[in-house]
Amino acid sequence: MNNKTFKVTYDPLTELMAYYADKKGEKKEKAARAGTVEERLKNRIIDGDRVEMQADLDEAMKKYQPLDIINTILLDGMKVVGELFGSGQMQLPFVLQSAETMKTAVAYLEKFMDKADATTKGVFIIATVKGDVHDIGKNLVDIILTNNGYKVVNLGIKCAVETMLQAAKENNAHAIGMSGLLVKSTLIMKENLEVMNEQGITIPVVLGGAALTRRYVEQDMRTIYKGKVFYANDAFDGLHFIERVVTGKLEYPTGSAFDHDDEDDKLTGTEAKIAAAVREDERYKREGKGERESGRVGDERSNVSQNVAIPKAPFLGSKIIDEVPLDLVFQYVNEVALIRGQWQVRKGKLKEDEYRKMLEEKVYPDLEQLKIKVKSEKLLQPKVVYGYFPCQSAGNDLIIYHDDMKSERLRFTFPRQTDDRHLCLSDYFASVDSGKMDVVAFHLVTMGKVASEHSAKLFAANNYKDYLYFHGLSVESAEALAELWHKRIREELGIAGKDAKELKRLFSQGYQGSRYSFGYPACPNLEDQTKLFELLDGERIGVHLTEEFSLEPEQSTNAIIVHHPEARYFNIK
Amino acid sequence: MKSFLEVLKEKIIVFDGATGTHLQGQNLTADDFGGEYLNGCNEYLVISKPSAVELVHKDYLEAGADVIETDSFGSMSIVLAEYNLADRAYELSFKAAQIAKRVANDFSTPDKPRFVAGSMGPTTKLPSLGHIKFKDMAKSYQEQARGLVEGGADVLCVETCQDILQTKAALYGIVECFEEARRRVPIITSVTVEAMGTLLLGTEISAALTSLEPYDVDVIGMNCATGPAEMSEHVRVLCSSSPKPVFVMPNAGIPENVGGHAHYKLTPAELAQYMTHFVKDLGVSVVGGCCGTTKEHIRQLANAVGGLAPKHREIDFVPSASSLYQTASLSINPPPVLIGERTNANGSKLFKDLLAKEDWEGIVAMGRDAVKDGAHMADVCAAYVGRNEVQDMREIIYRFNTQVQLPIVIDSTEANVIEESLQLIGGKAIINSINLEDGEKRIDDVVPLCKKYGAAVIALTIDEQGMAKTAEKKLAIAKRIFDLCVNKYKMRPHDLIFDTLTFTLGSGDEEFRRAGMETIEAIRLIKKELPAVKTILGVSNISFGLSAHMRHVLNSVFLHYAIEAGLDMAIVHASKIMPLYKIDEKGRELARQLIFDERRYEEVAA
Repeated sequence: MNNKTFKVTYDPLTELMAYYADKKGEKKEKAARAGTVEERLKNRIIDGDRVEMQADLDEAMKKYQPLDIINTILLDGMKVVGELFGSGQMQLPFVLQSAETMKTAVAYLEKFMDKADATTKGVFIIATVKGDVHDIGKNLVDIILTNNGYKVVNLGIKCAVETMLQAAKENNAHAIGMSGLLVKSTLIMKENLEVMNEQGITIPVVLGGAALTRRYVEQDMRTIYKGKVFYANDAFDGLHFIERVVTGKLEYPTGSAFDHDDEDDKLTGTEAKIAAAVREDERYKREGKGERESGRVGDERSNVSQNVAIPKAPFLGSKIIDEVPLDLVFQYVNEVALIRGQWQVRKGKLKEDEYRKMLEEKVYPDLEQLKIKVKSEKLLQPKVVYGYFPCQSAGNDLIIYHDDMKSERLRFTFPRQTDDRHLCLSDYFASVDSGKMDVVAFHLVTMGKVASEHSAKLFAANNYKDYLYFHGLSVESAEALAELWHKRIREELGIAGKDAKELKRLFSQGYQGSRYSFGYPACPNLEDQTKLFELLDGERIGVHLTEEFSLEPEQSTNAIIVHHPEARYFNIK
Repeated sequence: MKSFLEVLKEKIIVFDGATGTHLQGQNLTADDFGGEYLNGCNEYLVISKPSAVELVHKDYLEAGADVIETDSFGSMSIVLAEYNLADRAYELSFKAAQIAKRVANDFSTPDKPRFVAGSMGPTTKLPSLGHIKFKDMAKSYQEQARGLVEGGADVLCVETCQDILQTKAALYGIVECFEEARRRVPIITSVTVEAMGTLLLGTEISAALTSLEPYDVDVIGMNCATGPAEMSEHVRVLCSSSPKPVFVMPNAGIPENVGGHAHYKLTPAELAQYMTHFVKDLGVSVVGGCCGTTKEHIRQLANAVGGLAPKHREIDFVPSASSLYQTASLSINPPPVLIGERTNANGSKLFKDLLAKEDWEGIVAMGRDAVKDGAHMADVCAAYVGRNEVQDMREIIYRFNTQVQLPIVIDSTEANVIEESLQLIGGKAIINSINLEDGEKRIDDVVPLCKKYGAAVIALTIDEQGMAKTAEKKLAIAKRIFDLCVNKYKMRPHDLIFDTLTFTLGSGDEEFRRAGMETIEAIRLIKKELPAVKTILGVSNISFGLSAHMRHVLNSVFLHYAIEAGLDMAIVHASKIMPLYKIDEKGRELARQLIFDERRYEEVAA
């Protein structure tokens, strides 16, 4: 036996007991709330605390209109609740408690509200779909719309599509809103739309709920439903939707990425790419090119040009860039995606100049400060690994060779469009039959582990705003670095001559070639990232591929980079 | 000749049309039925006028049906008792199968084999409403099944089910019959979704599927009550989530009363059109016609889909438990599935008091409150010293089955209590629990019940040496139990839920300092090594002996790390935990250090 023993100098149990010795949880909760009335009310919603709330509401009404209290202060609180729930830090019972508090507050404020507009602006049917009992979001929609002068027929939970259609008919409704929290509810919504098609019904539909994504609605649902269908991110999105329905302005967005209304402003980097793919498809069809291609079957190749110049790779294999100046990365941050998408600072009902003023006075200074802090404390640590590899295509496969350009190293298999142009990612590369050797680039970029850790720290410390700002910047910085390095790769390949002069245009593919991240329509198979990792060995820059094929830290992204001049985002149905 | 199951894989199987409608069309007299008191007893025609029954079979086989159903819808003793024929149940069932088999054989060729399905109706009793005891009903079905199988039925078809507990009793009887005969034939179960959108007792189709799916049935589907249009939504649900082939047999529309007779409006062409949609677009495998469908309906149906191969379906099957009404997944996002623990004699003083007063309605109210508290399932335990546990559970479970919307977790250590409870539950229950404390005996007693009644089970990491303390030992026990349940008793891994148990950290006892982290690590190991199973934890044990506020904090932080490690379900009352953000950072950190035993030391010379 060892002749030494150990003495405990610090015991968490003793510490914990000492720490809570004078704390009787109950007492602590009952203590008067601190802070401004705005903070108090917001925190009441978050904590689900209704006790003596009326006094706070009365005080707030000295400063604000009742509706403003709901729209800004109270709904802000609910947003935090939603985030906490979504990140798994708040269980359902507590969410319900918050919703009830919200309801109590609204019921009280309603007594002071102007309901002068006796005529309703429009009629809206809402329901939680069959098999789903979650109605917090849906009921918020009810509250917001009702207080904005719409008649809302709330059909409750577990509602069959037949019931919705009947109610729509009886009430002569303008639109139907379907809600649901469960993943399976998104399938039910899809089925509901199919049922409506079967019955020849084309009433506008808006879909909302935690498991839904904009992509799923705009990409999948829109191809199914013969009427118009929209995605609503929150109650205000729902309001925006119904306003456009009754004013006859409900149209799907078209045109280029930076020529659109509010709807597209909300698209973040990822979603903007999807939207671009969908638009590209639409443009192609409008121009009548689709028909020329009809008749292609099976795995038949598209008509992508086969005789394009193949650039020379500066080196073969992969290379690590350990440090990229943050100032350079920040130049490439898509501020629209950051401010409107990540930070959710939107124009809303503000006039153009009011919004600009707000951006200039509040948001940009915040952004600059944040950038300074990030730089000085090294809260983002950009790293890149990228490389060039000899390759050829064979049907739907892209074969990557060893540096000897003879033996196969690995191969990707990409899906092919079954209609439209019959496009497949492999078509952008010289085929085995051509006898020519082509080149493909891959890159993997990250903002470093510190980005995730700092985000988590802010969140844990209840600094929700700081969290939102920092997390948003970290995610968009990863996108920016990907954009920046894509540009570097174009320069190295000698194909940067066609780059748009204006930086903004780079975000909408203003350059030769394309960059496709795994998971997007053209290369949807996330598992393919294991091959990218084999080529680039991402662990060397601290990026790890999880069992579910997502990247850790989250502030990382990767792509396959194509030099072909015709390469654009495209959609696969 | 190919078997039914072989043909099922290759092509769409077409059943026959309505038997009752056909017989009515034959204008049979009271004499044909064997006398005035038997008038309308279709099942007795196999004795009194077999030619009428043969004609039904012949017509449908000529129309192109692959399968004909025996004239035995009500040929079990429970129903025949109404005609004073209870003692002839076996004979009538046997005869019905024998007649059908004879006619089918005349038509059967190697290219187009014809099969006989033994029809087993719902009887006239609803066990969920206390009309009949589970075992009595099962016995009646067992006798009918024996007659049908011995008479030559190739398949058994438990059809027109209205109460899932009745269906479970039928399946229990059928399995007993198979065990006795040492052979089995394929089983079809088919429920009836009323026009209101649920089974008669309010069961959603998804809940019916959850209850029936654990059984060794070969085909699951629906028949009767409505026409195909009203069924389409439910057929979609079945086709998207049933791991078994789907059966659909609609009426020729909803019957309308015309001059006192049921009149069915759906034309043969319309039926064929709907069913083609079900087969081609949704992936239905077995079709046929129920009330009001005729020879012509079946002819057009067989022409439309009889030659098609089954469509491949993408199935989204989610392991779940269910109540008589609803289904509830065994894992949700964000986790965990919460098991309400208030309806427990060991956990709630109120419950104990109500039990002592035999205030059953008060106890039901507590069960209903669990829904409001955010529970997804309700744990029920009536083990209370000095009281009769079996009797108390019977009273409670019988009421919970129809009055509480949540799936039931039967919390008992006694096999007889568990079995009596299972006989009262229409949904898919969870048994809490099994372990290896006394070797394998408890598993030998309880696990066969899971199979017989279609239940999932919670297994504790306890063996002959007691409660496991280290993660490795917990994993080893879990693996041993998994092996017994899955390999010996053929349970499906997704019906196994492991509870890695924990000791309190509140005592400061050196022996238990690592209890929290070992439990958490065990969850991680089990999810890794046995990926199909679920994990569960009674959270509040970790803080036993501490002050109420500390318990709150420690429970919540512990639950957080357990979820991070992969915990699917938690037995906890919402009032015993709080969201993490409500705990100040220091408290949270201290609790974390306590759980992961981050004591600091200083070396001293001995």
